[in-house]
Amino acid sequence: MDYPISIPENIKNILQNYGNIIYVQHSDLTENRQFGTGYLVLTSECLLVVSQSKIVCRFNNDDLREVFTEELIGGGRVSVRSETGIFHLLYYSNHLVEDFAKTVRLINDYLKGSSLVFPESSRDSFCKKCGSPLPERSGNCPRCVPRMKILKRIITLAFPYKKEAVFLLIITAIGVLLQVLPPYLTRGIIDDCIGRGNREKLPFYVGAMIITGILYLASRLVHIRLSSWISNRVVTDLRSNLHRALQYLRLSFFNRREPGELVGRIMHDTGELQQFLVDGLPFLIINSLTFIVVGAIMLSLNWKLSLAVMLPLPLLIFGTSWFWKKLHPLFLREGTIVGHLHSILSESLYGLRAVKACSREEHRIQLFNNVNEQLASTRVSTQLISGSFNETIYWIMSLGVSLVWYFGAKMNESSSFSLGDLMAFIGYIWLFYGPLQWFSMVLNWMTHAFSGAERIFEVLDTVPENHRNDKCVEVGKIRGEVEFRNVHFSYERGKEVIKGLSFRVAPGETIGLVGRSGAGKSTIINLLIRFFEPDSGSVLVDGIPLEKIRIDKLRSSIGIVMQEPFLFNGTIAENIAYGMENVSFSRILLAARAAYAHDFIVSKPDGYDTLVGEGGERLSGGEKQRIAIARAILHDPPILILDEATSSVDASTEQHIQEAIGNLIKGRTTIAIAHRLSTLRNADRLMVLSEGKIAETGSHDELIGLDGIYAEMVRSYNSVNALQSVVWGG
Amino acid sequence: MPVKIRWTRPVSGKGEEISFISNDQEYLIIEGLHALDPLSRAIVEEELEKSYYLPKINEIVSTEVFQGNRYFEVQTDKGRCRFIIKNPFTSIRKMAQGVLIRDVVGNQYIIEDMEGLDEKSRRELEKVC
Repeated sequence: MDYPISIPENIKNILQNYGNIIYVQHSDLTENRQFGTGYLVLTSECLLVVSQSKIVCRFNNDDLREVFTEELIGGGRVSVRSETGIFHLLYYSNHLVEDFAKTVRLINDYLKGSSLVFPESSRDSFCKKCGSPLPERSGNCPRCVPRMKILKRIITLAFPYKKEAVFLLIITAIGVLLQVLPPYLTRGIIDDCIGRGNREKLPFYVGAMIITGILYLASRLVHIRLSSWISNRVVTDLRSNLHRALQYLRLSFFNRREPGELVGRIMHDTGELQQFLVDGLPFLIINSLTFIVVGAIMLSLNWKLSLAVMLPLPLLIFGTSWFWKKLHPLFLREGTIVGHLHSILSESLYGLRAVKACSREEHRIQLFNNVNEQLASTRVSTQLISGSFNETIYWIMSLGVSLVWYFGAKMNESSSFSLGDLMAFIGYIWLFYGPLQWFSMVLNWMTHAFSGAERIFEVLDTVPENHRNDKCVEVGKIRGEVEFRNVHFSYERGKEVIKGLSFRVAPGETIGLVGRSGAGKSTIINLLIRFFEPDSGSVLVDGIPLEKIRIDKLRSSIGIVMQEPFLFNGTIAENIAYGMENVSFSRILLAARAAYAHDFIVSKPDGYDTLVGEGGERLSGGEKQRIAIARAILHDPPILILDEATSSVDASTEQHIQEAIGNLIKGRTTIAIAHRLSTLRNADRLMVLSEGKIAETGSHDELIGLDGIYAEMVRSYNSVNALQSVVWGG
Repeated sequence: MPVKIRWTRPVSGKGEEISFISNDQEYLIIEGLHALDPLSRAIVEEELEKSYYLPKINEIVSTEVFQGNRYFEVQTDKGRCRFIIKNPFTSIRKMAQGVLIRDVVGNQYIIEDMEGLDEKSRRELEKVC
């Protein structure tokens, strides 16, 4: 028997006398709800709780009627219902809600004698490598970011531009050499021309200096041109790939993320990466090279003096890293506050109407000012520290220069260390110290850019929806039979929305889904169109499981009319024809007529060419609905999903919409989340959802006769409608 | 019929109103524990204690930030544990007394007395918020 969690040997020993171990589920809380490990063990004879190497409680399987979980606040608990009552077995934190839900299902199956389906290895809540919690189940562990791996990956991004990159490296090396030349020439002028009096060599030296300067300028210009071109190409490619990846990702990826964050990722993280590639990386390379070359030259000139130069080095390095340790959390803080300021600002703007209606302008101003002040004080601290840091580092460097003057002048007296050598040395010191000053900053920059890159790679690496997977079979024209087989689904960890749903819809049937808000109606739609995958069970179309159907084939065979139809930036005609190529206007017209939309469209100033969407004209709810219906009619899919809007419209619009819907569902397999009595009456069958399962099913009249949940809903609907007609007078 | 007993206002007014919920509908709300007789009070208190898991943070051992995720390692009255929060502005809430922290999984922790935190814990906290 294979169970996902291996239990310690000593526990296995304790359980020896209680039958064969069937399944083990661990908890992150002990039996007295302390952080630790507890185990729920199912054996062939009994159900036990083991904690701290002791058996805490035991129930014989024969005595058990049911095992169930309860969701509490900050965790959950698993309990049994036996002949003698209800007993709580074990508590666990939210990390394990999903695991216990699956375990309990398994145990109940076992108790009933049904065949057991062992859950596949559970998705990790903790990183396998470092043991820290994961922000996403089975996601990447941000802590275990292998810097080298990311650097390598970033470099591979430049592979398409190999030639240019190599050329860039050569130019960089040349630049470094040219930069190192002037102090040498200075030495020559001082010693040769002035010292030894070879004045005629002066034009030669000065000429060399000027030429070096010009060549250096040239090399810099070429460098800048090349590096900005390459880094821009790399980042543009990245942005494009990122956007492409996002388009093809599963909807579940977006479920728990805010769109703003992803926009930030594409624009901000790529921007940071770009900055690093343009400025940071070349800086790093140039200065590392300069550092090495200058160090070598200084050592060759006079190793004793070089030591004096190196003396302040440890102080420099220590000071820099100490300062950056202080600065880093402040930068983070700044970023968080800025993010918070953004959200307050956007809330003030999006919620402007509510703010004004409740006269809360001053309150919002106060809120904004509070955070604004926090930002100011953080920034002051940051600038204070980094300012002082810069000046202090500068001072440390000048300390090194003083040392060189002292020892250098002494050496000049006693040995063959010329004035030129000394001046050259002084020149080299700045070239030597300069890079060090910024090394810590660049390393920090690198960390930022790398974590940005990591976020980008995370998106690129996430398995997309399986488009054109080879597991797919060729499907001919879809007839429109839909089946759900024992489907379980939860959006969030452990909160099951669909708990074992099974139903079958024949081609052409119209099914109405009813139930309270949150009962799972929209979820069924999401599962059918494969925006999400079921936790277990399967969804089939024409008898074929959805995983085996090419996703674009599936989605082109399903039409949706949503509650809040989304209109794209474009004309009304383009919106009706959205998703279809080469559609003649006459067909668009026909569809609009059938959707009872034609009349209001032609009344608009630009008719079918009216621009709608974000920048365009605002349509009323009823108008949007009918355009969505027209879209679906034009599309003519074998399966239709109708998510009826709950917003009420005036009576004549309502009539139009009802007739439009009537036109729409003719001859199609329709699954409608129904709110209108007319839709419900005309459906072939109704399914009443409650607690994630189908509670009642039948036609409208049959269900009224049943006098159950459905009947109750209709009664309250009628009384609400009656009230409405009294209030609105019709 | 299974009954859920929950604080009506766990964050702003814990120790006050209590809701009795069945089938997702509240059927009773009381002003507070003081409105009950001793026997009922004991039962309700026990049930409330069982329904909420709220470790009290005594010490913040360490904090780190990676990719915007704040990692905490803390010592609580229930032992040592680790968790992650994403956005400190939304994950950390001021309660009537103390501070409530909710992590990415939905687990909750409370710092009952912010002033009583030792210097190190305070520094660690400031690092990430």
